[in-house]
Amino acid sequence: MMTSLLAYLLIPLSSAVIIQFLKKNDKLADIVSNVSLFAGLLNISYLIFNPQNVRFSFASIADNGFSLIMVLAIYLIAFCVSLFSSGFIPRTKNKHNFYSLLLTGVAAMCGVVISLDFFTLYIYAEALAIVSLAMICYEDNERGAEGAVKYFFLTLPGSVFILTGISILLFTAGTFNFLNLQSIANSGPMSTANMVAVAFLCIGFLIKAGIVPFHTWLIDAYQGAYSPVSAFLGGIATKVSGAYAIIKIVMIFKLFESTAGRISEALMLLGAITIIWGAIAAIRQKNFKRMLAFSSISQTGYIVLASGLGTPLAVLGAIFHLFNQATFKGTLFLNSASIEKSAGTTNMHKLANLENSMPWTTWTSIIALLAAAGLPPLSGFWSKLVIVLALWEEGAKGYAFLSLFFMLVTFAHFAIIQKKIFFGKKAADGEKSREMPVFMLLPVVLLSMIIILAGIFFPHVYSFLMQAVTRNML
Amino acid sequence: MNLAILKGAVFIPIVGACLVPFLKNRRQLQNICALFLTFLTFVSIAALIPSVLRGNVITYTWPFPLDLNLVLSADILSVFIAEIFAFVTIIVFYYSGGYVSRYKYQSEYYSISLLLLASAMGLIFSMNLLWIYIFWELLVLCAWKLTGFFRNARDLSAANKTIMLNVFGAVFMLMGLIMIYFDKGTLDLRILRGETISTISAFFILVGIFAKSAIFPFSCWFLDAAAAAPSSSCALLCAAIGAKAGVYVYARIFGVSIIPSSFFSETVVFVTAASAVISAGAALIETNIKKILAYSAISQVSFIFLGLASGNSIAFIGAMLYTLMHSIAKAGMFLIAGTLEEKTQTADITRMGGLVRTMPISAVSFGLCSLSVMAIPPLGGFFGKFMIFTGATEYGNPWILGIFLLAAILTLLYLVRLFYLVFLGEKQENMPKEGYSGMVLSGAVLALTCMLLGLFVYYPATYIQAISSNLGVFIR
Amino acid sequence: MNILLIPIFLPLFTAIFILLVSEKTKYLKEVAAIMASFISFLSALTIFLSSNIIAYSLPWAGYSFDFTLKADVLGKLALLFATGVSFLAAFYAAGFMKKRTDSAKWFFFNLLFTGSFSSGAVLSDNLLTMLFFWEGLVIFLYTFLVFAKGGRNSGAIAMKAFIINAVANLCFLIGITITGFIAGSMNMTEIHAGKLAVSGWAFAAYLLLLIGIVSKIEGMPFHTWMTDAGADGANSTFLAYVPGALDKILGIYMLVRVSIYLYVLNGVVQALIMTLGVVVLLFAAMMALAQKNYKKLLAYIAVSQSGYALLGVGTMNATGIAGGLFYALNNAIYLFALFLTAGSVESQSETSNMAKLGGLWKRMPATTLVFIIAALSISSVPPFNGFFSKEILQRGILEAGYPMFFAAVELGSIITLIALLKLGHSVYFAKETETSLRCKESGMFMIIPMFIAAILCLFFGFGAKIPVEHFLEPVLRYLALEHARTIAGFQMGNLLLISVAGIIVSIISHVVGYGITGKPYKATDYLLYAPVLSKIYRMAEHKVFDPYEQIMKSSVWPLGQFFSKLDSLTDYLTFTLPSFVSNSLSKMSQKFHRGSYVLYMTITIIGFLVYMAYVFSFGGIK
Repeated sequence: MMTSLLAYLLIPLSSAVIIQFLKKNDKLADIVSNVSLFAGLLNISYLIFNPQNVRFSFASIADNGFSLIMVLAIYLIAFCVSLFSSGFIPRTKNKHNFYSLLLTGVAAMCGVVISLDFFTLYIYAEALAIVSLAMICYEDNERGAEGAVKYFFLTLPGSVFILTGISILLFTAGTFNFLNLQSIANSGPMSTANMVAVAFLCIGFLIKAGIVPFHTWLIDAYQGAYSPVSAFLGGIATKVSGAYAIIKIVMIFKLFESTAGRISEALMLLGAITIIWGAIAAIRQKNFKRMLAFSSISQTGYIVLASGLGTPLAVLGAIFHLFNQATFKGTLFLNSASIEKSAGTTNMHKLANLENSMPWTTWTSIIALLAAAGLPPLSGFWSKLVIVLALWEEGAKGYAFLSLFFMLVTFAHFAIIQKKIFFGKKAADGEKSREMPVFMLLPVVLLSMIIILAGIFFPHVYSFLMQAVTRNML
Repeated sequence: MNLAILKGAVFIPIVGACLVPFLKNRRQLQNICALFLTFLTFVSIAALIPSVLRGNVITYTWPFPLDLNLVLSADILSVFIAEIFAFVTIIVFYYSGGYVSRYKYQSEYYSISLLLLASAMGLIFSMNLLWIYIFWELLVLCAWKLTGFFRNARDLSAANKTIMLNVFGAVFMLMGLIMIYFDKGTLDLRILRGETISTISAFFILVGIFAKSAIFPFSCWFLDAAAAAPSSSCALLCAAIGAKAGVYVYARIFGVSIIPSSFFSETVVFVTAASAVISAGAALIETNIKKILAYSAISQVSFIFLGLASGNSIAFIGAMLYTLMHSIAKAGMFLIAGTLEEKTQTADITRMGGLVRTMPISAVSFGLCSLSVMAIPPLGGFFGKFMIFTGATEYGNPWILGIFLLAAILTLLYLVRLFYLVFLGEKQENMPKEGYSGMVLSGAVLALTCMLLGLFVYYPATYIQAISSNLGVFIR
Repeated sequence: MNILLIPIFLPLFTAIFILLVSEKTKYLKEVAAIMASFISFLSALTIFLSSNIIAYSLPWAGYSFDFTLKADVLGKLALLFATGVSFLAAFYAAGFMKKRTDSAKWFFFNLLFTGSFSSGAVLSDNLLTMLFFWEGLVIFLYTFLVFAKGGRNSGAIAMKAFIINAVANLCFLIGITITGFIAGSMNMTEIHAGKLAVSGWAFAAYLLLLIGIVSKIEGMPFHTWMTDAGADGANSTFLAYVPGALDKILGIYMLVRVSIYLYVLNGVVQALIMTLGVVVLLFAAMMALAQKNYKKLLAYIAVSQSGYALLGVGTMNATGIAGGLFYALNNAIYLFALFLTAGSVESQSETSNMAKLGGLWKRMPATTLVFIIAALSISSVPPFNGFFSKEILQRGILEAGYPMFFAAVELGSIITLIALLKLGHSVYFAKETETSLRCKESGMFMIIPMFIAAILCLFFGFGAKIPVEHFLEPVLRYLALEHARTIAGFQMGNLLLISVAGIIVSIISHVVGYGITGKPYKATDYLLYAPVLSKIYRMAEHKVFDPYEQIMKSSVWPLGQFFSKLDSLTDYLTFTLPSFVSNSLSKMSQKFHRGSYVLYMTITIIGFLVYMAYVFSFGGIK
């Protein structure tokens, strides 16, 4: 554990406990949860972005930059979700449970990103899985239950594989610690047994990340889950439990240059397949949330593809894309939640012309979609560009072209959605919809601001991430 | 000082784009604000002319990692094109005062149009290919929103078509850029100047350019967009900024920076020849006035590309001159078409007729603009087309010359037909009066500009000659 | 201030001034127009009389595209006649437009602009400058026809005229670019220094230029708009001024300029031009026979006249060219006069249908007189000017060694005379009709120009020496065509006898025709129903010989259809097809997301196995 960041784990955990004692008083629960998360957010962002660091282009950051930015993402999304939910969830549904689950989830995620060895990481990942399970079926209807069941059973193999991998690692390498493993990896060609372990670890985390063909759980989970929860899951949870770990493994074992070339090839291949499959499948979805689920799968594909390549530049791209995806998927899922609340459905055939009734929701969604599609100068463009450049640099031109070309398909998603939901003629359900209250719009506006700023101030982001990556991949 | 002006030229419209939506319910104010900001841009760029004519280049750099700096630099060519765009935008905004004010989403219209102008300025002034691409994409976005201004399903499909085809082109363009980036290690045109690039990457870039300028294989979005968008936006998209952005980028990259391979230029010439003649022919039997104008725009832009690809300086000068003339003439035609459509409640020319009696000023303005496009003296278009033909003769392929002669003849035919059916023809039951004075006036102003540019062609011609002598056009 | 600028810019500014003044003003427009055209005529005269070559140059569109004017001998001559005609036309119109409904303001505007642009065209020395004025004229042709609210479908005819001329002009434009390219200069004087041989690119260039020129003189395939306009009752002053006089002057000027001054023609081209000339000459004359409409008949005569000039220049020898030029000058005079008579008759009787007219000589003696003189000279009856030009021309043709064409010329003049006898007889001498009862002589404004033209006919006839020596000889010398002195004057000879014979033939034919039908305006019908001719005439009725209609019908619309099909095909390929494909793929992919738990689990397991196989297969781990 990075003790320096331990606070980010403990504070939400404690407030989760506290909230349980505030059964009577939802207002107070709102305040506690939001305040604790917001405080954490301010804290972490100051840690990263205080003028000094920016001036010295982040050379002066002591801690592991990767974890820092992950913590930032976690707190950002979590805060947005909790702020949103405080308006979204009606009093009748015992809110405080939701909050304590959310905060526990935050704690678990922080555990994942600040842990320094695979075992801890695994533990927290499992904790996160359980919390997510609980959250998916928070709204007790059968769709949620189904999603939860699928989530549990279909990610179970993942956990099994990870456990296998770790246990093999224990026998062969004799340690879980990242640094030791890294030194082993640097010391020379990796032993077959280690390789097996790594292979198992990878497949396990791939399953948790919902990579094609292991994505099946993800769709139903996202669609079935209680709307803010799908924002939580789609925004950050699956990324942390899956993609983060993959990137970590890549950083540690340097798969691309070590003898484990096959694994990195496998990763790239799966990533490419994921990009294609997710993007294609999303086109004809009727349900907004389901469509978002598919498109987020294909976005995760980019991350896996890049991390499979594993060069510093690629990893940088992967991390940046992970962060971006957290922001824009968070925005979109939150907006889908507010659409569901105000229009009563997320079926795209029943929706239309929300721009009049819900302008803010509309335009934030447009920004997020465009960022996902990689429209410059929004953040999504830069991360994709970096990934493509990295791919091309390593001579993986086919992959590069593919990932470029599927930007086009993502634009198609944008085109479909904007036509069916936001613009276009009035529809029955579009009529009665109305805009959300301010503090439910605040999260999405905040996120879309971040999308834009992260794009415009790409130089700073780049220099920060460069620091992080180089420090991790020594 | 100049540097400040240059920054201003790009950022003033952006500021305006962010500002306008907050003037929500003061419609007149929005119009004035947009008009004023555009005028400011126009003037500020005009202030750069003396110094660029002396051969100075004003450059502003914002460092970006991976050697992808944002380099804004105003040289003699970029200032020329920027002035054209700004001028047309001013007129269009003046026209919009009477045109758009009726509709909902007016604030959206103004802010997006300003954003369009801003991205055009960025595109024109950036010297780094990646940033050209970035502003290019922003241009596409604005085109998408302006096309979908009226929210009917048809318009939205047109908007989607616009964005899909343009992004398709843009993706290829980016591919080409990445190739160049790894071949040459940079995307800075100042460094790439005089280099030669691999043909395949050149073609990738070309796909993007053609998709934007709606040259032959990618022309379909252009027509739907023209039919769907409000006419004032058509004047921006189809006549001035949208279509001519491709022209500018071609001129910038393959005209004065990178030496294209002769095979490449030949392909361009042949494709544009096909495009010119096909769209001109299609315009001949089309009955939607805005689609006719869009077809016409395509075929005229093909002429410009012929001039650029012929690879001799006279053709280049002709192309630049014709870019100026055609932007103004076609913009005028679109604006007047907008008035007609609004007054007669139809875009079908077979249901108009005899309007010269009731709308004489519009009729005369339209006639002058179309004469300019037909290359009849003393209108400006004549000189542009004449020089392009001279250059094409120097290019020395009789077939190409023949095809473009055919295209020119067809141009003549469909424009005369259009004018006849709309303004002479036999009277229809609805004979509307002239529109709101501002709209009529803006059409007339553009027509007059065509005339004056023809009579005083000396000034633009000498300026453009300065372009080709300062920057040096690559002769094959 | 260079004097060359006066005939160009004075009318131009006056025209703009006229556009600004109100339609109501009684004499202001007229006076302004007449003064402007008169002053430009005077300046043209001074230019003509000044012995040295006046030039003027101004940088224009960069490169070698300068605004260069140069009054050489040829230009001077053309300018003199162009401005003269403009002046007379303006004068005539001052009286003529009073009677008409259509806007006098616009008429004078067009007239002055046409005058100014034609002066520019004949004066300019730079090809671009010349093209600028030459092609600019088409606009005012269009406006002339549109604003002349003569007929029902003036708009359609205007469109036809515009399209025909503008297309021809485009060919002319290409011809000029090629010429400039192969000559390496846009300046005619420089090109003249090293004349271009007609071969390869130059041949194409010359043909393209020829197209432009022939359309300008309403030569054969390009004449149809004019005859339609005549039939449609377009403004007679316009017909007299533009197609009657000015276009002929410009066209022939340019023909000489190009064929003699810039290019050196070879036998092939020569034969081509002369053949074209003959075809135009005979066919148009034949058509003239069939007409029952005053103006349409004249229109056809005018077309046939342009054939002579083509023939003349085609001979390529001094005499022939002299004849051609002389024809051009005479054309300008007597066609002008004839159309003016048509105008004055029309303005009185409000019709130009021969059947409705008759016996006007009593009521309009002056007009009658002018008509007789002009008609006789146009059908080259000695000793009017037409005869001498024909004589010189024929001599040239014989020198060039084309006896066939000689005969053709003779035949042409015979047919012309037949047609005009019919016309004159039926309009001026047959017994009066009720329409002709209300006619009286036109006013001074209209009489004077007609008389001037008529006097010129006589003068150029009896005193043919003067024009030959002062107009033609200098030009021939300037063009360096060595020649024996061109005899012009009344002399007994075979040619005279032949023409006399021709005249007798035509008179007989008229008498016979009149005898058969008893109606003067049907005097030629017996020819029309002759076995072969009747077919031709019927085809002509159905516009079979009108390339404009034919091409529009047969090729242009199908072409448009084809291209738009092609366009929609690309639309399908670039958008519809891809979106269809991606949609169907997406549909297929949905099969795998039915939500069935078993399926999902199987997929997962299989995926795992494949992954492991991939990683550990063939040398995955070394």
